[in-house]
Parts: sequence; C-alpha cells; structure tokens
Amino acid sequence: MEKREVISLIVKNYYGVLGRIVTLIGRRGYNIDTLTVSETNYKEISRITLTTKADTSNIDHIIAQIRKLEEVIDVFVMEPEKAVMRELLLMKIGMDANNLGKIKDFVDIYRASIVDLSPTSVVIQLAGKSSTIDGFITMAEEFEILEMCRTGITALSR
Amino acid sequence: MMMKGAEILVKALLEQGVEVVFGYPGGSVLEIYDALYKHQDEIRHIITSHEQGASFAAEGYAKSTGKVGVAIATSGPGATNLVTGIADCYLDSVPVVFITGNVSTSLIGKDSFQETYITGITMPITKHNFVVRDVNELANTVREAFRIAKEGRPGPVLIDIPKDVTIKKGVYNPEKIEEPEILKYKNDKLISEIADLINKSKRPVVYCGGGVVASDASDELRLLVEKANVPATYTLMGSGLLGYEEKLNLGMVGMHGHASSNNAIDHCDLLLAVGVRFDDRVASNVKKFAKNAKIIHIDIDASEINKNVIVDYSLVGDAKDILGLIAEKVQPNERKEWMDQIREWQKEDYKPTDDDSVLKPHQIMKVISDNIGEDGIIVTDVGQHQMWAAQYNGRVKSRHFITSGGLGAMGFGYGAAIGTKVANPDKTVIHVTGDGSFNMNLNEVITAVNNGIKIITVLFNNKALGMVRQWQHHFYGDRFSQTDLFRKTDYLKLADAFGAKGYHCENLSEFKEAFKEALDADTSVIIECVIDRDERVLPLIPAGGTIEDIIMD
Repeated sequence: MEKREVISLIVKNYYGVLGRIVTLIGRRGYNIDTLTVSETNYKEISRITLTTKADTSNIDHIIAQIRKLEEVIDVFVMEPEKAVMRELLLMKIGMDANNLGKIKDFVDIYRASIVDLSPTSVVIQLAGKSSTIDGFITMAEEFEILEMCRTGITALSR
Repeated sequence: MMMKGAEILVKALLEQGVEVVFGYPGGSVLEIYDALYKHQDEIRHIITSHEQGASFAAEGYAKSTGKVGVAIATSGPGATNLVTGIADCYLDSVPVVFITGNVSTSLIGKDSFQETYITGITMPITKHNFVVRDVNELANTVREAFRIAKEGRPGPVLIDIPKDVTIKKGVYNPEKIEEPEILKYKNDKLISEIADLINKSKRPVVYCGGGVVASDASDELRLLVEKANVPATYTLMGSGLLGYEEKLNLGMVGMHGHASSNNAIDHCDLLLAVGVRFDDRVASNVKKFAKNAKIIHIDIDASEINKNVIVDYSLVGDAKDILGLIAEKVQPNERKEWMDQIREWQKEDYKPTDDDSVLKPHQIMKVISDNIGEDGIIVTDVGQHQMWAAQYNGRVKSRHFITSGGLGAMGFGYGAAIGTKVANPDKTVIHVTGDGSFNMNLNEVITAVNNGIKIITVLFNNKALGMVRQWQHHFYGDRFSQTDLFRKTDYLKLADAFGAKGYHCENLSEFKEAFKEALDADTSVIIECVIDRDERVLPLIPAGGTIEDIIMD
C-alpha cells in the first residue's frame, strides 16, 4: 500500500548534487511531493529532506538507487515516531476593519503569528507538524485566503 | 611538479596504464591533443570518423578485456555525439572513462560556441560525472573516475574539462595506482544455506549473465554447475560463460532463447540467478517468471535485488567470490529425472533447416564459428543478425561475443569491433551486422582501413529492417511500414572506395570461399550475404508473454 515516506539524505555539498538526486528519482518514476535542502553545521555537507508516496518495496528501491550516488554519504527513511518533523506555512489573508479581531483570535488558537500587516491583508506564519498545518488551512477557509505556501517537511531523528 | 592541465591529464592517464585512447580533436581539446602529440609514443590515439564510433570503440575495448576504455571528444557536438555510447556502457555496465573538453570557465553558461552542459545531459547515463574547475583537482579527478568506473558494478564515468583548465599550470604528483579490493563475502551461514538448498533441490537451474562476465567468474560458475550437476541458462550478455556445447549449458534464455531453457526456468524449483537483472527480455512477465521456484539472487549491486522480480534469498557481493564459496559446499547429485525432462524439451526445440543453395543465417554463423577457433571474437550490431549470432555463435569463452545488450544500439558493431581488435591484435575479430545497422556507422570502415585494424564484416543483407519487419509480420498484419528498404548500395564498390576488400555471396559455398579468403586478407573485408527478407528469428516469446505464448514457426 502506498504511504507518504520522509527520506533524509546526507550529501556532499557539491554543485549539481541536488540535480543528480532529483533526476534519479524522476527517472525511476517517482514523484517528489516536498523537498527541503540546506547546509548543515559542517559547511561541506548538506541535508536534503524529501517526501514521496511509495509502497515498501518501492521505497527500498529508491533508497538503494540513491545510495549508489557518489555524493550521497547516507540516506534513510525517517520513521515518524523516531523523528521530529516540521514545516513552515506562510498565508496571506484578506483583511478589513471588521475581521482583524477575528483573525487575531484564530492566529492565537494555533499559536501562529502575524508577520506582516498591510491595509488590506495580513501574512500569517505557522511552524508545526504537517497535520497541524493541514488543520490550520482547513479552518482558515472561513477567511479570504489570497496566497499561501508551505516549505515541505524538514526532519531530524530524535 | 608544475605543468599544464592537459599534460597533467595525459600523465594521469599513463598512471592508470592507459595505452590507447579513441577520440576526435576539436577547439576545446586543442591543448589535450597537443599533450597527446608529445606523448604519442606512450599513448596510441585512434581517430574515428565520428565521435559515436570512438565511444563504441572504447566500449569494445573495455568489453573484450575488462580494462577501462577511454574516449575523448571536444565540447558541444563532439560531446553529444558520445552520448549513445555512454548510454550503451551504462546499460551494459562497462567501465569507460569519457573525457570531454568544454568552453573556458568564463564562457560557461553563456551559450557560447560549441558549449553544451554535457554533465547535465549525461547525468542519468553515467555512474558519475565531473566538471573539473580547478587544474589542481585534475589528477585526483582522473584517479577517482577510474576508480568509480571499475569498482563494484562497472560503468561509464565522464570528466568534463573546460579549456582554460587544460591551459593553466597546476601541481602534479605521480601516484601509484592500486586495484580496488574485492570485498570478501562474510555471511558463511547464508552460503551454507544456499548450498543446502541447491543440494536438496530436485529441479535447480542457473540463470547467469553479464555480472558473471564482469567478475571474471566463468571458472567458478563451471565448477559449481559441474560439481552439483545443475543445468545453466544464460542471457545475451552471458554468451560464452560456459562452452557452447557443454553438457550442462542449456543455451540462451529469454525472448529468442531456446524453448527448453525457458521451460527449465518455468518448471524449476530453485533458480540461482547470478549477475543478472531480470530484464524484460528475459523476465517478460515478472509475475509468472520462475513461478514454481525459490529464487536466489547474487549480484554486486544491492539496488538490483527485488527490482524487477521479488526474490527469496539475496547475496550482495562479487560473483567470483560467492560462486566459489557455494561451489565448495555443494554435493554431486545426479538429478536424473530433471535432466531427462530437459532432454525431452530439447528434442522439441526449434531447429532451423539447412539449405546450401541459399544463405541461411545459422549456417553462416556455423562457418564463422568453425573457422575462427575458440579465440575468435564475434562483435555484432543490433537486430535479427544479432539474435542469430547470439543463438549460433559457438563461443566457449566469455568476452568473445561482444554485443549491445541493454541499450540495443544499432550502429554499435563497427566501432566496437575496432576497439576489440585494438585490444586483441592477435585475435580474429568478426563483425556480424545487418544492412540497417551497418548503414548507421559504416563510415568507421575508414578508421579500420587507415589504421591497419583488420575487421571482417559479415553483412546479412535482406534489404530490410528485419527485426522490426518481423514484428510487423507477427503483430501488425504484414504492414511493413518503413522496413522494406530495397536500398541499391553496391557493397563491393563501397568496400573498394574505402580501401577494404569486398565479397558478394548468394549461397553457402560462395560464403565459405569468401570467408576463407577474408581470413587471409591483409586488410578489412566486407562480405555481403544475401538473406531472404522473410527469414525470421525463432523462437520468439512476445513481449509480456511466457513460454506458453512462444512462437516456433
């Protein structure tokens, strides 16, 4: 059965390494749902966190293929109960004098924060588990959502 | 020592024991060619007619020896012309280092003249590739490239060198190259378990392929099958691993393999798969492949395990090592019932009928095989002739049947034959081709003639694209779309124009005579054999089918 898997890669921070990994996964017929990349505390090493939908045998296949790449130092599947997984949401909501209070209450319930305010809109920031963010987006539908984006999961094992 | 990048490159190639490179000069590799000029006594450079020919030549060199082949091309079109050869090496796991020039670093990314992003283009078809941006990294990059090309499962590696890096001076310190160590297989318990499974099996079969060739494990394979009396089938890439007529060698398996070999896999209770990847030309229907068997998979590449067919046991490691360990623990076992059953199937196998008054493919192959001895090497192109050559090549040693397996690249043959002959100057090299494939890269006859590289081409001319035409016959109601070529090429004149020797044959005695003369000739030869366009490759298991769907006539 297909489920979402979070894969963590420790890679050498070379130019082109992301392209190589993305090409490999695409070529083998899998879709990347989310992707985050950053340098680690070692400048020459980067961490890539990606999520994809796959069944168990497919995920083993993806991991085995990724492991063969020269620049990949380690690659493993993150198990939800053994890892901290978070993502960040930015959402722009239409605002007028009447609903600012309502928006503020809503933001407080989720411990989100307003990071930008203009005469006609606010930008809300929320960091948390994907499920929390999914819930926030559903509840926010009572407002006028102008734009939004989420970073996708980044994760560390506990 | 300080020296120009181009000089460092050549020194680093010499370090690796490179004696010959195939290539084609151009603007971005002028410095490299200047360094090659200086070192022409140490490295032989063979210029082909087209970079694709160079890529296949380097591949033929590597496939026939196991050594790393080297091909060089300039930036832009030079580099893109290598691409089919690189892909071929990737699909057949062949160690070749491809070196491309590129525009200077200051011009990269500006769509400069003859600039292509060749590392991007070749990312999915190389084991790894490099752009060298600092001349001081050049020597180590070459060392890394050779290590990666031959380590574990071999494969192609590309090094892209911007022109300014070949001009700049950098530090070069010679290093002694050590061969990568073969990892010893550690799991003794599993080895015993596998040996036990083989000993207890009533109907075991070996299914072996290119990985056994790459690991040079022909002797260990033979030891195992002979000691335990296990019949063996091989893939196209495993041709010659066991002697053509050895008792336990069941012959080729798969789409154009024997019905008996395919039946053996279908009915076996234990399948020992070694250095194979359950590719769709063998395991056409993955759900029904070896459906009655426990499957053991031995491969050096962990990502091959459970990729196409889910197996019961897997051993990741070097085939030579693992087969040797298993062979020690297996016991003699007659398995009379199983062997008798296989002999019964073999009686029903497709057998082509002889006809000396025309030219029958299997008879041509027999003449070739009988006349070149066991050291003669057959190199093929891709199509019907390739399958006939695979079925009837008579080879008894590995690396003596050179073909484009995974990629199936028409035009592979001539370049590959050149590389094979250069690597094996004392052996007879026969290029078996069809008119379709030969027309793709026949310009390389020029290379052979001008470099004194003797190739005997046996051209199966049916004036058609036979393999596609055969599929149009079986599956498209004889609608021969673009496959009845009726080209008017006069191959005698063509051979003459290139400085080769030409023959035209229409029956077996003419061919026998021409072939004997060709063996004695002092130049390359093209023997055109007229083949009936309705000759088909049989048997045929249609794509996605099983032994039950086999077409025998």
